[in-house]
Amino acid sequence: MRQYIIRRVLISIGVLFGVSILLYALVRSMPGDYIQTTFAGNPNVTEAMIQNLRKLYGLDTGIVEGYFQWLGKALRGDLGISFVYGRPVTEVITDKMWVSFFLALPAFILQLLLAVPMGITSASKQYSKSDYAVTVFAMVGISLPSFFFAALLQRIFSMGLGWLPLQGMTTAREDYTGIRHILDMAVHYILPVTVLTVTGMGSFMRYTRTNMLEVLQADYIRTARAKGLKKKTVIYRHGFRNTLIPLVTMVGGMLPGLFSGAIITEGIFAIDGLGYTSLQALKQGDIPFIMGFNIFLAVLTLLGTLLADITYGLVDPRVKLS
Amino acid sequence: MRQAVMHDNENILEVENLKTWFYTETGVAKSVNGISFAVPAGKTVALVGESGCGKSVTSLSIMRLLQEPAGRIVDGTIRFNRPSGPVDLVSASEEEMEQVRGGEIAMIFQEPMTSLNPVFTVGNQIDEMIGLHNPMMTKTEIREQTVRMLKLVGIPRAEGIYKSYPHELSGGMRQRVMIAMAISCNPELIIADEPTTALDVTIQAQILELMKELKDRIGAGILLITHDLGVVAEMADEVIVMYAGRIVEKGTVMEVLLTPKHPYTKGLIKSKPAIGTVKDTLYSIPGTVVSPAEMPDYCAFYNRCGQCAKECRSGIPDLEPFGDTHFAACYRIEGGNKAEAVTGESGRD
Repeated sequence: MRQYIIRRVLISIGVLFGVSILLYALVRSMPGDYIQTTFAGNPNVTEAMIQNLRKLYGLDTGIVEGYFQWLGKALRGDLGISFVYGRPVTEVITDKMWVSFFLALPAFILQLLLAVPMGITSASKQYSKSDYAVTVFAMVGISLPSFFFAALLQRIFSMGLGWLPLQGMTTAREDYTGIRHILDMAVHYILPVTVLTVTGMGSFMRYTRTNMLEVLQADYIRTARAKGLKKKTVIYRHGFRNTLIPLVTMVGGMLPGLFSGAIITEGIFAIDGLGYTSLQALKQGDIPFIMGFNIFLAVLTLLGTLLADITYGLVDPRVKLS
Repeated sequence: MRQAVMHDNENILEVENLKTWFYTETGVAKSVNGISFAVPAGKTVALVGESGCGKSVTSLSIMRLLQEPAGRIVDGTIRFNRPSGPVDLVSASEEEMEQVRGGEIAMIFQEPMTSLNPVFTVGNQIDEMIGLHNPMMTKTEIREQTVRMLKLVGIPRAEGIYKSYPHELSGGMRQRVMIAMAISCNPELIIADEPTTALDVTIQAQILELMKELKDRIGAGILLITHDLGVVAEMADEVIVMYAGRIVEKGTVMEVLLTPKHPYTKGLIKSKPAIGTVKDTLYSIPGTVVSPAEMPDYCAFYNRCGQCAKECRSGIPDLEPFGDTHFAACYRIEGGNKAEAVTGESGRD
């Protein structure tokens, strides 16, 4: 087990190198670098000044040279200073990360709590009314664009009924502290969390349903029924334990999503999370930030798959990690 | 609970005019179409026939484990002599069925490789069944009972196997585990659905040996579903031959195997390799079984039968007695009542 993890971590490091090379090459090949987008059309900035600025921002090097400069620093834990935000990249990420995380986590938990039982119900009562209802709901969730659904919710609950704030993370003009601050934030998070939950849980539910259907066809389910177990016990004990195996892999793959931020939803609700931040950085060619952010996501993805594989071994006795 | 009265108190199970039909998109498949038989207490009755003849559907009907709503028991009674009194399983409540399943009627399935849940240990799965039907037992008692059962079915190092997962055992071992599970609650009836089919020949012999030994020890009635006449000869007291959802012949082992009446039974016996004879190719019954969805309203064996005649298309033959215990459903048997009545329009022979 320990050997397995060590080997996987070593492989992951190799993968990370590959990812960083690819990323850097792509980012540097994008048309219009930071200097160009910032000073284009400004008659007071001369060509000589632009050259100087390029040098200052380290954009005058070739891709290969630039990569090794970036790598050299990154290996020492220095991801550079964000062009747009003027602060160290690590600082910006850790700052905004938690905003996105606390938006994504409740949505993620709600998705799991709702989608898994719904998937199981619809599988165990295949072709029943509740199956169709759940399926329609899932399809609507999958098809609904988040910007549309968000606008709809804002229209109804903020503008129309006035129950919930339209956007933002806290009430402006108020300076709550302690528990009142947390409650205030929670109220602001209700709509964005709803959007993320509804638009995200559909595929999860379908996945649960498909796997559960397959499991319920298995011979051991019939054996369990032949033992005299109640249908419910068979479904939730014998069936669900087996459905859990593929689900775990999927959940592992969702780990980076918890931190990466939801670009559209954060944008609509003016939530200052990583999604919004990274979109700004991307638009303006903020190379250090884009690099840092994507490497951060790559690390999370690799961690997520490793975690999924380890849990896989825990829920499925047939899997031996070695 | 609907009480029933057993026709013969010696019987543990009486199936009467059972019809189990499957309602599919392509039509109604009459998988089991009016069969009647009985399993005497402590005796072994073999249900024989080729794939798709309705053997397994019969067993699932008794357990009420059909894939509903497609598969339904549309008619008939299944009287089971519970220790608390006879009941009709067709109309029994789900709660009552849960007591009967596992506790009083246990089942051994064909596929030991897939019939055990891969994520639970073997011991855990047997414990679950014992605990379910013996709510008064403590955890340690249940565990001891499980280990005792594993030892009884000839599993070496039972304590070690107790903690094993199914994938760590061989097919033969798994089938032993299934048998241990089946007998763990002292059932009155065991339904063994092709218990040896999926196993290697040498293992088959071991499992058969084990079942024969246990049969005498536990005194349960056994409904043995198989298509292997060798198994029948080894194990059974009585034989029921099914073809296309109906019983075509039944009787004691001696009667059916030594003096078969129905052309289908004869064909089955003929297609079995015999030691001491050399043949290039084994005999096989020509043609294929009629699809359950297109069941004719005359003898279903007509299109494959070497003795068929015009009269065979006149209607579905009933089971006729040929002695006290021997029955067959065919118009063309010498001495059969109907055969004589209709032989006016003689056929080819």
